[in-house]
Formats: sequence, structure tokens, C-alpha cells
Amino acid sequence: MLSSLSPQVQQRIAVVVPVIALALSLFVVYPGWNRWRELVAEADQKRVRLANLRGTPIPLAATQQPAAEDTPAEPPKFLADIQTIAADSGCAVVGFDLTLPPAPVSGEEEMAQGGNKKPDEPKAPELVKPVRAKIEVEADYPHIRQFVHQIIAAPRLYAIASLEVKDANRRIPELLAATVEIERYVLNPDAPPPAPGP
Amino acid sequence: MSPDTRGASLGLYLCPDVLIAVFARGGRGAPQIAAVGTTPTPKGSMDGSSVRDPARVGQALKTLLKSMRSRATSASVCLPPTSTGMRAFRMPDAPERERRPLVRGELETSGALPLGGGAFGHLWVKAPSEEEREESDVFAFYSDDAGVDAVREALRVANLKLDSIEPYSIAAIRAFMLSRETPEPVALLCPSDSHTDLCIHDGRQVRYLRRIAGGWEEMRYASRQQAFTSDEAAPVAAQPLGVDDALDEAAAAQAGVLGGIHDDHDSSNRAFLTAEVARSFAFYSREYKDADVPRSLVVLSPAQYAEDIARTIEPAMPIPVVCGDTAAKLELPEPTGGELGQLGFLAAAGAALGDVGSLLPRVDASRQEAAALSRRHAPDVLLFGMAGSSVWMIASVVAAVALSLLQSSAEVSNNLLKRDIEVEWARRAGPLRNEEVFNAARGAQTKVATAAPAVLAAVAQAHDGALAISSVKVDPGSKVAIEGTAVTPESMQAFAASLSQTHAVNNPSFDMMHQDNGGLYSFRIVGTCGHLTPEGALREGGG
Repeated sequence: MLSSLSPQVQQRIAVVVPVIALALSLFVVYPGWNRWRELVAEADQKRVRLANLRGTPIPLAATQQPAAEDTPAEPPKFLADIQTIAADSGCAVVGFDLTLPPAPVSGEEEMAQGGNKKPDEPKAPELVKPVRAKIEVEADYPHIRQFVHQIIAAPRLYAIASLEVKDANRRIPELLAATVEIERYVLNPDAPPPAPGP
Repeated sequence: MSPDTRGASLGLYLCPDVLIAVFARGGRGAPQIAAVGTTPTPKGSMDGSSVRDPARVGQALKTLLKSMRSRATSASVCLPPTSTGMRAFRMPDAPERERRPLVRGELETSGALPLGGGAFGHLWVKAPSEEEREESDVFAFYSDDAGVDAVREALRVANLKLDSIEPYSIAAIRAFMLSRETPEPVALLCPSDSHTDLCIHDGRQVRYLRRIAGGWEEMRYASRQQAFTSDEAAPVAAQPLGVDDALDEAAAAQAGVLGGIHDDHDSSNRAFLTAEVARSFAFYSREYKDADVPRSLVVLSPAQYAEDIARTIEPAMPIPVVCGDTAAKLELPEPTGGELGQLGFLAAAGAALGDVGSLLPRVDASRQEAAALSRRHAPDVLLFGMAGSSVWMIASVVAAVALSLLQSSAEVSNNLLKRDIEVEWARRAGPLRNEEVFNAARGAQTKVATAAPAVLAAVAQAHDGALAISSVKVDPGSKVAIEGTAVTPESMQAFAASLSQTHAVNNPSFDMMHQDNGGLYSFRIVGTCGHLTPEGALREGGG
């Protein structure tokens, strides 16, 4: 068939066809092949990731609220909760102080350093911020015990940082005064956001 | 209504003035002209008798044939008379298969054709011989490769295959012979601008053919000379182009027919043509003694020249001289399109009728040798390369399409997987974040929380009423301090022992012990509760 073409057409075909074939191979087929292999590898990775994800059990919900949102309404709500606990325990809240200075750096490492702050190091912000409050209640010893116990068993996570129980210096012999320093936790707005999805 | 060209052969006449297409049918009776068409030749696309721009000529032919609703796939071509040269020679008779090489050898020897190149066709006519060996007259028409290739390319552009390129005189003579109702011996004169072909046909086949140098251009020159000498006496008689009077006289005297011409010697050019025709007749009479004498001499030429030529040579001819009326018999239109174009209808019709009858077989002046044909084609390596490149290109296109489909499929699969992962991740993101927050808060709680409830419980459990507890203090760092008063040392000892047994206060020890004036003991017991969790359980590792 080719031999029946005119010499001019043959010359054009002899030049144009290989050039087109080469251009197609270099600029279409080869990049297309690479792209296809990348897509196949990407699909394989995603399949593995999906299988791992499906194999990972969904964490159970905690029985206690670990931290509350750091909003202006949080301290009054905390005080209301404590008052409720105290009332349930038969204690009378006689004083509270929510304006304590920020809680000292907690932890054994800091204790070992004798309270000296470690030189600043770039550290990712914690997910939660500790906030302390000092509560003063009056009651007899069993009710103070119940109050302390109910703080630990409360729906929200609290830590009793310190406790002092002493005579209330009243004329009622059984009446005791307890000063409880409670640490609660709020979400740190500076904390990194949740890990992005895959 | 367009003419019906089915079953008709196509003959083309190509000249710088006009392109002519004639569809003709041969049959039992006279040939029929089915259709005739003309179109002006694109300016500059033909140079004299050769095609200079095949593409434009081919396109013009394509348009012409399209307007004629042609279905032809091949055509025979006739070019202006000067496109082909002619040689006549006598050779020993030879078998059919040996004739063409012999003719080529003669043409190459005479310099008409280059070695191995050029194209030619020939008529092989048995010559009368009185001796035992048989001889043949060969009338060969030749042309160059470039001209043939250009015509072939022009026809290819017009979607036509080249059947043959016929010499003008052969085509015209065939058209004349086929137009006659009863074939009879006749001599035919085909003048052109530069030469004149003379053919003697015995009614069955060509017997004699020769080319005479001199055509109507020289007639025209002679006429101008005659006009000049009639006005004022010419100092010197006009000389023929390439011929002198002595030669004319000798030739005419040899032929024995020169008397009239010599007496009326107003133009040596006319005399030369007349003498050459007469000499040819004399030669024919001498050589072909048994052949029939031509009944007439027919001048096949445009009317404007034919009558002049006939009038010129008639006095010297022993047979009637007539002008051919072939065009009228074949119902061809009046010639148009310039000097060369006027020859066209007859020539195109003759070319189209090349395969009709045996009065004048086709003479294909486009036949090339195998070497020339192979030169025209690309080398096999190049063809294989082109075929390979074409396959490569097609494979590349197929691969590109296939890869596009595969990419599309892979992208769809990736998108589905991505959506599934996002769904799964969305189901887990909230609980995972809550767990993360709980762990962070629990870690912070574990670091600072004291086991205060456990300490209070231990104090309550150890207290037996023999002493009074005034203060219980649990400091940050889980240091426990218990202060109180006792009446006896034994009660203090019992309290400390009981406290130790509760395991809530680790390593209880008396930090202070004091007896006042009343004999009452004050004491302070210190210990730690750091080995307990905030809920009072033992820490892992024993605290």
C-alpha cells in the first residue's frame, strides 16, 4: 500500500509518522504509564490503610468527663458542681477560692528539679490545662470523708492536690473544717487540633 | 442531465492551453464519443509539452472529471506532438520477447535514450524482403522519465491510473482510422508546429511511418517571407530551416515528382515538406511493391493549417490530397483553446480508443524499464521503516487510549477508597480524640492527685477513742501529717500501729511528741500516701 503512494507523500510519511510516534511515546504513553503505576500503588496503600483502620477497634467512651471546655462559664459551673457534691455529702461550703495562681508544674520530674523551671524547650502544648481551686467546707468527719470520696467519684475528673482537716474552732465539738485543693482540667485552646484524617 | 460515461474509456489531452477529457466507446460499429469536457490549464503548470506542476494539473483534472460525473479509474494520455521523439529503423525480425531490448539498444546507441533510462513504445512491422532473412521496420516513440513521472503523478492526484502516454500522431491517426466506415489504404499526414508525421496505412495495419522535420511554424515563416518578397524583392531567397535547395532538388529529382514544385518555388520550406512526402511515397512504392497504393493523402491538422498544407503539396502528389474531417464524423466539438489545444479532441479520442480494433495498436511511450520503476519507488528498507513507524504510531495511540482508561479506572478506585477511609475515620475520630483528652487529663491527675480519701479512711479506721485527732493534712507530694493529743503513750502507740496496718499511710512515724504540764501528750505522725492512686489503690510498681 505504501509503495503505491507518491514519493512526496512517502517522504512526508517517512518523517512525520516516526516523529508523531516518538512524541506520543515520550509525552503521552510514558508519562501515562508512570501515572498509572503511581495510581495503582496509591490504591494499594489506601487498601492497606483502610484494612488497618477497620481492624482498629473504636475506643470506648470514658465514664468520667476528663475536661471541660475552657469557657467563661466553666468556673461557676465547677463551683455549682462542688456545692452540689457538698450538699449531697452533708457538708457546708464555707469558702472557696477560684482565683488561685496557676497550678505549679506538676509531675515527678519537676519535683526532682526542686521547683526550678527547666530551660525553655520547644514543647507541644498539652491537650488539657490544669486549673486549681481551694474549697473550704465544714462538717463532721464522716461527712468530710464522704465529700472527699464523692469528689473523686464525681462525673468529672478531679484531683485532690492537698487536704487539710482541722478543728473548726467553733463551739460545736464535732464540727471540723476541711480545706480541699481541687485540680480540674479544661481543654487547652492552644493544643494541636485532632490528627487529620488519612 | 449528465452524460453517461459508464463503459467508456477515458482519453486525456494535456497542453499548456487546455486540458481535454474525452470518454469514448468502441463497439461493432463506429466508435462513440460518450462525453467531452475541457478546462483551462492552470497557469504555469505546464511548460510546452511537459507537466511542470503535477499537483495543480491533477487537481484541475479532478475537478473536470468530477463535473463530468466520471467514474473512470484510469486514463490514456496524449501530450502535445513535441513531447515524444521518434526513430525509425529496420532490424532483423525477432521473437516478441526480444523486441523491446533490441529497440532499446538501438535507441540508446543512437543517443535517443540514456542508458537504462527513458521510456518508449514502438510499432514492430514486418518489412518486405526479397532475401531469405526476414526484416522488420521499427517505429519507436520515446520520452524522458521525468515527463512520464510528472504525468503519472498528476493522474494520481486526480485519482487516476496511467494506462499509457500515446504519441499525438498515433492517437490522431487511430481516431481517423476508426472513424472511417470501410478501411482502405490511405496515407496520413499529421503536421504539428515543428514536425510532420507521415503514415501509410494499408487498411489493415501501418506499413510505413516517418517523421519529417518541419511543421506549420515553418509554413508560417515561409508565408511571411513570401509576403515580404512580393512587396519588395528579396535580396536572397528564403532558406529552409536546416535544408538547402540543392538537397531539395536532389531529393525531389530522386522522387521524380519535383517538377511542379521546382517551377513554383516560392517557398523552399513548402518544397521541402512536399519533397519529403513525395520521396516517402517513392520509397514506399519501391519497397512495398505488393502493397495496395493509398487511395488518398489525408491531412490531419486544424482546419486553419490543413487547407494550406493540402494546397501546397497537392500538385506534387499522385493521389488526391484531402483534409480530414474526423472531428465531424466522431461528433467532436469545434477545437478551442489555442494552437496546441486545437489538436486535443482528436488526440484525446484516439488515446481513449487505444484498445479498439487492430488498425493501429496502442503505442505506449510511457513504458519504463524495471530499473526506472524501482528507482521511482522507495527502497524496501524505507518502506519497512515507514510500515514499522506506522505500526509504532498506531500502537502508541492504542497504548495511550488504554492507559487513559486504566488511569480513569484507578482514579475511580482511589476515590472510592478515599471515601471509605474518610467514613471509617469519621467513625473513630471523635472517640479517639476523647481518649486522647482523657489520657492527658488522667496523666495530669495521676501526677498531682493525693490519696486523700484513703488517708481519711485510714485515720478513721485507726482511731479508737483513746486519743484526739486535731489535724489531718495531706500536702502536695502526698506527704501526710496527723496531729493530735493522747492521754497515754500506749494509745499513741496503738494508733500508730493501727495506722500502719491500713497501708494507706506509708511508713508512719512520730515527727513530734510532747507532754504538757497536765500530762497530756501532743504528737504528730508523718508519712506518705504516694504509693496509692487517687482512688486509693496501689500504684503499679508499688509507688
